[in-house]
Amino acid sequence: MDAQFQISTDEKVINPVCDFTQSWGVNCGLTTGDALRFSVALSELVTDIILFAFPDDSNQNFEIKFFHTFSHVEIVISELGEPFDPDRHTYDAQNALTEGNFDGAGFLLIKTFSDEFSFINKGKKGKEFRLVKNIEVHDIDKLLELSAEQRETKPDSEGDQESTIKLEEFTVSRIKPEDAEDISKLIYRTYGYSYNVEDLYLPKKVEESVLAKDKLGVIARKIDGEAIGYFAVIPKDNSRIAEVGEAVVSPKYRKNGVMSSMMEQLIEIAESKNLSMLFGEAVTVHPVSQKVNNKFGYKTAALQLASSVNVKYKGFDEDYSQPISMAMDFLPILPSHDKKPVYLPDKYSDIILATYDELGINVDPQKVTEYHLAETSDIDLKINYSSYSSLIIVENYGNDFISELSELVDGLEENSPETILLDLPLENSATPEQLHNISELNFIYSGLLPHYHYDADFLRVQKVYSDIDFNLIEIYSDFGKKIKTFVADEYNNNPERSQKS
Amino acid sequence: MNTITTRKEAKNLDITVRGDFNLRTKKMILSRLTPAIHTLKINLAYCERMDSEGVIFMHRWLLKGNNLRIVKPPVIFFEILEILGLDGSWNLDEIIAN
Repeated sequence: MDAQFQISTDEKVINPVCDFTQSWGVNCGLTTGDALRFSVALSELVTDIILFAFPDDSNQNFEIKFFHTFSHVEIVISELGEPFDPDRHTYDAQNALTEGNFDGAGFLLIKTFSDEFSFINKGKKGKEFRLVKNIEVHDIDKLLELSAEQRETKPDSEGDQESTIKLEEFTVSRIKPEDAEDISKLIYRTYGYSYNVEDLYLPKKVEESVLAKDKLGVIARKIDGEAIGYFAVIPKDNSRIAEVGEAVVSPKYRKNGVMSSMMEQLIEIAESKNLSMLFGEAVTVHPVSQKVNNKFGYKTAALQLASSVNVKYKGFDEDYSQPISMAMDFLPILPSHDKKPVYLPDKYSDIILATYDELGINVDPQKVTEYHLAETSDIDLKINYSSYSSLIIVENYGNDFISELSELVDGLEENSPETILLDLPLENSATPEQLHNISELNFIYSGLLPHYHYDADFLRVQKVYSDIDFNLIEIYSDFGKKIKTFVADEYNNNPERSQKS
Repeated sequence: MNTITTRKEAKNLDITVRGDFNLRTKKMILSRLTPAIHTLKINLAYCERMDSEGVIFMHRWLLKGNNLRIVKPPVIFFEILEILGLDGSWNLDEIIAN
């Protein structure tokens, strides 16, 4: 998070908050015009909150949080004022012209000047608004222009086989900020425009993330210095685990063991950083990434359905007809000696225990005798705007859990999501009964996420809104196939699905 | 900080907006209007950000049959006018003063 303000419901604050938003937007990479428009969107929203959530009361306050990633800026506003629903206020230009009735005008401007606008009714916890503006990317073209002469043939599956060059020697070393441009060029030369992590095309963004240690990783080079491979490890912000990803080997230098050498070094980095676990999200449109993970001892522990929109992965999925599901593969780094107590829901007990066994993690399943609920639940929400998915993380259960979760899901459903993921703490004795209590929400199994949040193990369940053809989901490992079968059975027997068909 | 300076002359009120033209600015202008005033001249040369409150205020002023002149409106003003579908009904040649 970049900033957090507690704002009074006094109209005097609109101007300074918008000034901050505009400057912050520019600093994050928005153009001056987009930063201005985004600040106008905020101006509209703050005005509506002052006028309609807290009419005639300038002594209340509400919260604004500012976040940015390399590709977008996001503002989250939470308030506890009078209920109002933006969807019930639709702007009618004719009405405005003739009657001067401008109901809904503010929301129209908010939607126009933002790239995403979502409203989530959190019941007794008030309302939450999220505004997102994408950061425009211009550097790609410059980069491509610069590297045009050195551009290699884009990969095609036939050509790759014929044009690979045998390497006698290459080096693998930790990435440094000055490797940024080579990393971007490697991504372009290998994937053309098709790679789905846009930031990787931007040397400055790569450099920033390496400097900030948001990203660790390795780069492989020929003896003459030419970059031929890159593999990253990205530490998770709320746990001592990290995700491996962004793997690329220059097509003509494949089949030289470059990927394997890089993975070996990534595992060494993870050990040196005292990380407890590495994980990777492997696409299921082809088994290649899962195979690499499997070779290094990763075990598939979860299957996340419809996890990403249908991005084209060159040479693999030109005709793939559904959102892409991901296998979540985990590799324990630190051996677990103690048997930690876990509380497993009956219906998932066998598959979770089998997954623990597969991962070599010792657990001590506990019988629930009694548990205590806090007054209010502690729930975190993360929205992925590019894949239309949301993640709800339950840190602690309160007496209000069912109503809070139901309202949150209702609010998210208004924005037509692809999936809603729900992570439940397995070391919390309330989980089995609370999962049973929310059965009407029709979440289905996704898998076990060891050490995933707050260094604790979580059960991931998922609510999927797309039609899934499981025949199109390729899973490499035998155990992963068991998880797929389990998920498919629950998906096909889901009451919501039966109703649909 | 958004402030306004105003000068009344017979049926005219000249206003200079400094800062945003938003809810607060609108309320400040409303507080200085009297039934006798029929023409508003709003100088927006020092205003970069305007939201719907500013545009709606001016539109309603025009709907009542009053006169409006605006000076150097910011670019965002034209964008808002277009988004709200008001651009066709405003005689901008007449309203925007040179």
